[in-house]
Amino acid sequence: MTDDTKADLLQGTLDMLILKAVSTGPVHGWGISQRIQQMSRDVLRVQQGSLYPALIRLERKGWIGAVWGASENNRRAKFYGITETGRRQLVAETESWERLSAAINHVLQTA
Amino acid sequence: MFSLQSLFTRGRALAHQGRFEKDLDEELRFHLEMETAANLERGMSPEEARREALLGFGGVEKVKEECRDEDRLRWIETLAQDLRYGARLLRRSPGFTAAAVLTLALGIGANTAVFSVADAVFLRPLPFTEPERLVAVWLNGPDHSVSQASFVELREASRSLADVAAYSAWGFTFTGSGEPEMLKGARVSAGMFRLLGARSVLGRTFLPEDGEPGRGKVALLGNRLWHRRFGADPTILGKTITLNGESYTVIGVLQPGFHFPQRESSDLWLPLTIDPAAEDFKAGYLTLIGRMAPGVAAPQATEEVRAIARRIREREPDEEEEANAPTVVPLQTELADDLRPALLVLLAAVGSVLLIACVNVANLLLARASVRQQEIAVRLALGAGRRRLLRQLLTESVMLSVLGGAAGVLLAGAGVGPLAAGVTAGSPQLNEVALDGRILLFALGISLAAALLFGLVPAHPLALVAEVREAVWGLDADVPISEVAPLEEVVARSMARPRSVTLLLAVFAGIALLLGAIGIYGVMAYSVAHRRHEIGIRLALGARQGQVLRLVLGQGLVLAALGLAVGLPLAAAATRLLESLLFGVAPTDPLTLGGVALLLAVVALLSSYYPARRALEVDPVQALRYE
Repeated sequence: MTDDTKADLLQGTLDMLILKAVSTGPVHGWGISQRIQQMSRDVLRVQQGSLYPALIRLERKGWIGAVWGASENNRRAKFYGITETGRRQLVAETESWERLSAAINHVLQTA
Repeated sequence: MFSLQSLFTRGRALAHQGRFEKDLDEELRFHLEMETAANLERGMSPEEARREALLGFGGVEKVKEECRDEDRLRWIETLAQDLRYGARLLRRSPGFTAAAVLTLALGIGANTAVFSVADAVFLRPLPFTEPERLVAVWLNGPDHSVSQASFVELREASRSLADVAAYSAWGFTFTGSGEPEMLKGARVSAGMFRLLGARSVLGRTFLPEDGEPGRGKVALLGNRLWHRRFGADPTILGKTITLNGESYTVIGVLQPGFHFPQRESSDLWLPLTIDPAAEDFKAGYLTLIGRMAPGVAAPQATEEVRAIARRIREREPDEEEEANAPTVVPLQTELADDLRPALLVLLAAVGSVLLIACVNVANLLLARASVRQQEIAVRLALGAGRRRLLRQLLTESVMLSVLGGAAGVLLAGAGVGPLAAGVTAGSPQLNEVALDGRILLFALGISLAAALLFGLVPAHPLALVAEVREAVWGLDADVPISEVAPLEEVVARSMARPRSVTLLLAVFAGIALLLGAIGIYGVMAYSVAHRRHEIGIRLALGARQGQVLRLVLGQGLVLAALGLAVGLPLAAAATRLLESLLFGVAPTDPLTLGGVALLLAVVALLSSYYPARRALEVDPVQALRYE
């Protein structure tokens, strides 16, 4: 595995996690990092800085949309939500992830 | 066109960037504050909480840089999308696109051509050595010629003028090899070429001896004439040519691109014979130019020239010269001043043409707006942002106007030669008029301005209708300003120009009239076509076709009458203004005004008639059902 494909895999994984995190309702950037941490039972910690470029990238692909609104502590914050294409993308990525992890499990258990 | 396009892109990018940076700052700050607050809740000290938050985030500047990279990509993709979308729209209605591009090309082309002449006249330095030191010397006041005697005395006496030369523009009938031909040129004093910094490429220029009585049978050829009539013959020196029936020996050929006193069309020069014994020694027929000594300014030179003129008049009060206040004027100012009114009038004329072109394109967009409104409503409903939609509409307009601008530059390229010749005919040498980078930038500028002017129309269709209609009528009524009156030949030097300027005005006015008529047709046809529903109801309620037709035509006529009522007084006022600016424009000519008014009224009638006829042909029941 070259460095390039490794980076792609990591980026793709982060994209999938973000899509999952915003799929349950509009949430701001900090909230996304918290959700991922909670949903993974504290196993996955997103490098918080890398979250924001990823958000712009997903917006560019039309998978998420953003609006400014008021946060829970009544501050101006940018909220992200999933779009219809984003939802389809999440389904597709989840399926391919499941196939991939099943295959890897299969390899690891055969011995 | 590439650099121009990138300029447009950069402007758009700059506006976008400011907002993006502000938003990014705010978003990241919010994140760090939330993280700090969470850390406080976990029991950290405020300082610790803040430090941990920053640590968990990684370098803020690095994150920002990554965000910027992503944003640039996003921005480029959006622009590409907008351009693709715009291109698809334009391809989908080729008739509309062609009409809009052609209309804009006429408007932008006319402006570009006139601006390029104005640029050469007002903005670029003259193509001579140290042009800032060159002056026109009016020993007998502006536009009055000078005698040989005065010229010789001034040249000897003046200290502030390092050099003075005299010329008299002349036409020569050239006979001999090939067809006889009228050539343009001048008799010039020997020092003129040195004064202007012009060199010969073959042979020599004039020496003082060439101007001595009985010697002046020599000629200098312009580079272009040498190529055109003599095939650039390298052995031309010493050969004789026949001018006005007399033989002259060719002694030299001038460097390429040198023309004086005619603009871009001086063919040849003969020496001015200075002969104190000649009958015309004290007759005024010469024009003087000078080169100021280093460090001297025009006012100083004027003062000295006045003192010299006073001496001459005191000594010879019966000199056959009119005595007006002598003055020394920088050559560029002199030439530019001469052309300023004509160019300003032309700029105003082509500005009007462009405005009418914009109004017409706005009309075309308007006619499509009903279709587009549906599309826009659908896209808004599908969640497209208003800002994005507006940007797409503008992108489409900018594409139209850039296409129009490109076509306009081609038109200008074809038209600028005759235009420059027309405007500056008979005036001394000026810069070559060329479509260079600055002219292209100008064309781009007016293209973008035009795009803004007509581009927002589909966004606000209704508010603009009334305005648009008024604009068309108002401008159109200006058209008769171009009427040309027979011109009396008062001053030989300014003879050719007003006539060609008025001719050019007539051409631009013709374009304006055509565009205006098309525009009026567009507006009227559009508004009548919009009344199909109402016409259907009237017919269904039993109105006869003739009645409905009369009603629609009557209303069209009222509109036309209103437009003319506003436009004609404007036209009369504009003509009076022109009269004061341009020599040879006749006072308001009732026949012309009446003719144009009639033409526009007929256009208005026809443009109500055809759509009304079409509306009447439709079965009323069907017309109602379709609405």
